[in-house]
Order: sequence, then structure tokens, then C-alpha cells
Amino acid sequence: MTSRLAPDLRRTQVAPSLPRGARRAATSISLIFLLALGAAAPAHAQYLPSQPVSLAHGSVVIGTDVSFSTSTTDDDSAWFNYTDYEHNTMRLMRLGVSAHVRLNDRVSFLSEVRSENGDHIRPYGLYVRLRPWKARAIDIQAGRIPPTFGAFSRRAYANGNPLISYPLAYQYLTSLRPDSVPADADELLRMRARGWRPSYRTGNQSVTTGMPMLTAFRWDTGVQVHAAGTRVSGSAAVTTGTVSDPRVRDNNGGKQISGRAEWQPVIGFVLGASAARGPYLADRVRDLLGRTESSYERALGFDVECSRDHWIVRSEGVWTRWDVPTLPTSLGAASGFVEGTYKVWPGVFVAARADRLTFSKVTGTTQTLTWDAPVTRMEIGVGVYARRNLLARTSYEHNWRDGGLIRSRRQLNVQLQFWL
Amino acid sequence: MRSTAHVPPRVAVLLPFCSLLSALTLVAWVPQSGQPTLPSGGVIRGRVEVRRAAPQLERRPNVADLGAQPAHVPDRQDLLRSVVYLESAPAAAFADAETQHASMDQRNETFIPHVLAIMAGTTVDFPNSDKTYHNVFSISKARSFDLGRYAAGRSKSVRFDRPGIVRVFCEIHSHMSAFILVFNHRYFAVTAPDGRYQISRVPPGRYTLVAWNEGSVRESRQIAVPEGTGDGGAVEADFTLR
Repeated sequence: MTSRLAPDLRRTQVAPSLPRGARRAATSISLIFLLALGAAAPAHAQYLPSQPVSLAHGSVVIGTDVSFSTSTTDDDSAWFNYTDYEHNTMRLMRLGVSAHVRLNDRVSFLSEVRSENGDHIRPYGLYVRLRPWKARAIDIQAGRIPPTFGAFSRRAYANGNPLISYPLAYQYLTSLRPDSVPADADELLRMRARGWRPSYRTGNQSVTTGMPMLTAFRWDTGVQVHAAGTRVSGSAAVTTGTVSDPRVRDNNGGKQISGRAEWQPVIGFVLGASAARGPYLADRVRDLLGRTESSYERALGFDVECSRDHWIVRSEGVWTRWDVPTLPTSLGAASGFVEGTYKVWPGVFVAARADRLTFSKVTGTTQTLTWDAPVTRMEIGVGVYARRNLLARTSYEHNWRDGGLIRSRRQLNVQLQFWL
Repeated sequence: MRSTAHVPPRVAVLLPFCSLLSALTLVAWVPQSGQPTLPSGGVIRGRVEVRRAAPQLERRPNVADLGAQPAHVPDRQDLLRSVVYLESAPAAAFADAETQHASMDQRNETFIPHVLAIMAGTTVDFPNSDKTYHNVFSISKARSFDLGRYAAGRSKSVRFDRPGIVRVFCEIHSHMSAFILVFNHRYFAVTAPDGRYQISRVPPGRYTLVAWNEGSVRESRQIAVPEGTGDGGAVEADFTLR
């Protein structure tokens, strides 16, 4: 049984009925944004500001990122574009402010706060960066740190994404949750294609979203070490949450270990490999199950970026397995995308992405099926720069799903972005 | 059926001879220097004092990076250079059709120079002297172009034919920006690090002299270049830009 998603989403839209807290948050972040603009304006009076605000001789640098997205379809399209923050990425107003405070050559503080659709301000990233040896490119970062796993999630600003939607692996919600588990395969199969609000009898029975394979909307908390050479770089991190469920507060006492290596044999060609392993189930669920079974999530990823002249081609493949104590085998998911960008004229580019997300099969009482419904997404778009930092773009997106109430959805999306 | 006109045999013999004679005559008319002769004139010189902070070309906060980027330390003096030019120029200035070349280097994630002044028709080379990709582009009305991504040791060029201000960026490095000012005459100068400038061979007359600095900072004044200043005489004009 499926109810419509629209009422949930409409609650999060920017509207006169916004709660006081949300209005205050939106006002605060708008004020910060306007102050940043105001500080930048005198230096570039004849142009729209294009540089971040720099204070104290460059010791403090403040940037902003504002985007507004809308779509031709109604909120039901969030069946495919819903996020773990319960927003439709195609109907999203995002305000972000980032800051880099450099105390000296060895110590910096970095932060990015965001507000989406007028919600309260969230610290997307907030960490200290230490460089113990000035002459060596080794950095230690602690706090709410950037993701070690994968490549897409570190394209921090919206203009790093050539299209409006997100890759399925980084956004599409599966029917698994960190705070509840299906009692058996039949209960799991009943939740196919219901990642926007799965519910199970074991654990938290309140309605909330499922987990994506990796999330591009939240960063994890922990410690990260990064070392870079001329052609090779590597990172390792220990964090509280997992790639599917990054956390500030620990919910299970376990830590995720993740690592990433990058190799750049020639300029313009980058190969990356990532791996992560950590417990994802909350102690509240594990307590109900007697804590006897493993509840780890394991992820493996490969990515490649190739660019030259007016072309950029990127591809990523991700494999994830979750241990579910109530099921005889772990659940797997695999996703891969290829995206390309080509600049046709100065300030005008076209982009396209082909994306696929599949799941392993489970056997219920009457049938053997993939435990969630596989999804395919195609998106093509065009972007036009009105200014160096003012981008308008539109895209056509088509989603197909092998299950659920909505099997196919086509939509035209529009986005406007400005950043400093 | 052939459409070409029939040429009588006698005319056909004379044609190459006449063509050769015409070519020799044209060569004899071209000045020995290969350049149109310009009048020797006066000199306008002075100093531009910029009483404001250098533009801040900082990186955007690299919150999503896994590690720190190399320090970006642009030359502050280079960022404060101004351009002084005549708003209108004598007709003789437009006769100078010499093909010119200029260069704007990309080094340490900085365009060098930060301000370049050229005549229309000049080709500017953009060599990449860094170890990373750069992607020079502009979407200015005076000249839009996108050179794409190219690696160290390579250079690409753009010809600027229309007068105007062209703002240049690197698509990969948001803190890289520069200005190219394109004039349809040769009466302009970029200030030295100490703010001094000199415009030579200015024909006598009354002019509007303009000092420009990035970000719409602009000041103009009327000047008169008198007769007889060609032999050492000079018009002094100082500016203070805030």
C-alpha cells in the first residue's frame, strides 16, 4: 500500500507557512549571504561579485553557494529524487556559506553550513585541518569531514555537478534503514521501491527515509589523514557513521574505516579506488536481536575521470553489501554511471549521464526477486553561464524502475546557481 | 557548354607582363620600414596612485578537499596595475595596422600579467607554465572564447579584434582572473609597479586622458599636447584612484 508523497514534500517547501525556526534560519543565512555580497561589492562595483570574501589579509575566506531548482512535474517526481533529508532535489532552494579560517601554516578551520528549502542551518562540514610538516603534503582533518569514499560527493558546489540530478548511488533511497530491519525476506520484499518511507516491525517503527548506497548530502564525523605525491594520493579515515548513514552522534559504538587512493598517470586522467567497512545498525535494533549477528556495511568503489580540451568524461562504479541479522545472506547493491560534459561555445555546455542501480536477489515464501527495485536514469542537459559565477541550466530526466507504483517518470528541470 | 570568356592570343601574351609590372610598381610604393609612417609627437607621462587594497584573488574555501592545496600567493603589485589611455585618438593612430603578439602566462595558478593592454588585431598567447590543467575562457562581450583544458608546456592563442574590456578566467581555478583591454589605437600604457606610465608619439591636440583600474575605478581629465613637444617635451598627468 502506497500513499502519495506530495504532502510530505510540500511541508518542506518554502512557503508563507514556514515554521518560525525555519524562517529564522533562512533569514540568518540570507543575511550572511547578503553581507558577503556587500563586502565583495565595493571591490568589483561594475561586475557581479565573483570572488569569495577575504578578510584579515586572506586568513579568513568566505564563499557562498546559492541554487534554486524546479521541475515541470509535481512533487510525485520525488519518488526518484528524494533525499535522506526528505527533500526533492529537483525542487530545492539551497543556501550555503563556506569558510576557511587559516590560523597559521599548520592549522586551519573549515566549515560549510547549508539551509535547504528554508530548513534550519545544518553544518555540512566542520573540521580542523592540521599540516604537521610544512614541507610535506600530509594533512590531518578532524571533525565533520569530507567523504573519503568515492569522487562525486566531493564536488562540493553545485557547479561541480554538470547536471541537476545526483547519481543514483549518491541519492536514491533504498528500502534499508539503520534503525529497523525486516523480520524476513517477505517483509523486505514488501518494501521494494519504497525507499522514501520504508517501515519494519523490528526496531524503530516511525516513518522515515531509507538509506542511499552513499550519501552526497551528509558528511561523517571522525578523523582523516591525507597524503599527496606528484602522481599518487591517498586518504584514510575513521568515522562514526558509514557511507550510507554518516553521523555526528554515534548510534552503535562501532567505527567505519574507509580509504581511497588516486593515481594520475598523466594530467587529465585520474583513476580512483575506494573502500569502506563499518557497522551501520543502531544498537537499539541490535539489542532487540541479541547482538549475535554481524551488522556491517562494506563498500567498494572505482572511479575514473578523463578530460581534455572541451571534454570531461567521468564514471563511477560502487558495490555495497549490508549484513541484515534477520536474513540468511547479506544484501547487495551495485551502481554505476557515466557522465560527459562538452563545451559547445564559450559559456555554453551540454552534459549527459547514464545511471543504473541494481540489487541482489532474495527468496521469499512465494518468489525470488531483487530486494529493491532496480532503477535506470538518463539525463541530458544544457548550461549557460550568464556570468562566470551565474549559471542557468535545464535538463531532461527519465527514470525507469522495475517495481513500485511509479515505474517511469519523465521531467524537465531548471536550475539557477550563483556562487562566490 | 563552357562559360568562360574567350581571350584573344595577343592579350593572353600581354597579361602576365602587365601583372608583373603592376606588382613591381606596388612594391616600390611600400615604405622601406614596412610600417605606415606615423607623426612624431609629444609624450604624456605621470603616475597613477591606487589608494585601495589590491583585489583579493583567494581560492574558494576548499571545504570538500581531502587535503590543503598549495599556497596561492599572487603578486600584489601586479594586481594594482592600471591602464592609462586616450579616450579618442587622432586618425593617424588607426593607420598602424602592424600585426602584434602578446602573452599572458599561467604560472602558480595566476595569470601574468594580471592586466594586459593591446591593440585590436593583436594575438595573445596563453602558455600553461603550471603542472596542472588550465582552461582559459572569457564570456565578455568584446571577445568570448574558451580554449579548453590543456596541460603544461602547451600554449593556445586568441586574436582580439574588437575594442573593449575582456575579463579572462580559468574554468578550473576560480581564483584565477585577469583583464585584457583592447584598444583601436596605440595611445595607451600599463603602469609600472611604481605606478608610472608614459604614452609616446602623441600628435598635438586636445584629448581626454583616462586612467583605469579594475573594478570600475576610472578617472578622466582633459589634456592638451602642444605643438613642438616631440623633442623632449612632455605633458605630465597624475591620477589618484580610490
